[in-house]
Amino acid sequence: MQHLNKKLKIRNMRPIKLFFALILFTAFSGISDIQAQEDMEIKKAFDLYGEKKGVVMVELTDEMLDGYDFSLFKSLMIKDNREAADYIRKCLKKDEVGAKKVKQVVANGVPTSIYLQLPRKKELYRLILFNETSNLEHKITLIYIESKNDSEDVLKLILKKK
Amino acid sequence: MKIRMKHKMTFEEADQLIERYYDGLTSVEEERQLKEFLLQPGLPARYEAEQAIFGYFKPQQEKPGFNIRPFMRWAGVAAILLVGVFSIQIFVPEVHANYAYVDGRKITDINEIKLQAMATLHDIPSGNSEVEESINNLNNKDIIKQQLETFATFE
Repeated sequence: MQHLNKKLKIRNMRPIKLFFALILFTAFSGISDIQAQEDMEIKKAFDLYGEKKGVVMVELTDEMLDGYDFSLFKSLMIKDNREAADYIRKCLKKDEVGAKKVKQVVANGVPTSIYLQLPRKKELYRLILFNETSNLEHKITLIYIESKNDSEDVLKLILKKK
Repeated sequence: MKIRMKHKMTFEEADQLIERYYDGLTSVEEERQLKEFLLQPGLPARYEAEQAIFGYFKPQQEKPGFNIRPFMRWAGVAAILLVGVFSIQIFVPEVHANYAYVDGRKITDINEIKLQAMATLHDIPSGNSEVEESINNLNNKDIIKQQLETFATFE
């Protein structure tokens, strides 16, 4: 009789345990996914300005780009839009929090060139480059790179190739 | 081959057997017959005590109420589907297409995309050029001249 009761208890418990285990796993998966998206604030800038007039947006994956070996290359070039520059600066300010290295060129109290070395995502090094020029025309350049090569090496290569 | 005819016990016969059972006079076969009689459903209430002795339990009526088990099954299926979707998102590498948008117009030609990418990379100033630019500004005589000219109006 006791044995029968025990058996019944186990049979009733099994789907409940399974259910909660699955829910926990689902929640964990969801959290990790949210975190991956949250650590990139500049993604919002790509989404917001990417397809607008006066903007050039590029996305290249696993393509050799004139000797550069990028796993992912995303860029945004915006002309005559100072609001966009301020918005991107705000995004970069948030991305700066988790960055491993930050380099800035400040003009009149405003950062005009920013280099962010982000923490690695799996085996990929990540870096963000931002530049704002107002010489002949106002132009913003934002680049996000994922590469298997060290961020410092990638940056050196970019600057050397110029 | 033996053919055994089943004899259905009457209440009187059962009463007699029960009496013999309590007196300890029943044989194994008689006890088996008595058990068979008592285990049948729908017997009068007076046999309840003997039924309990022989291990007969009345089937309990199921209480009408909310049963979560069928819902748990569906919830389990839903959870499995969710896990599947999330697993695909996590474990399958993200597939990015190569493209460019110029003034809202989508470009898929890989050569043109690469050209646009190179043009963007070219816009990033090197550290040296920033310094050079600043020095050039400092050495720019025209700027100094312009600034001095603003004070000329005080003469």
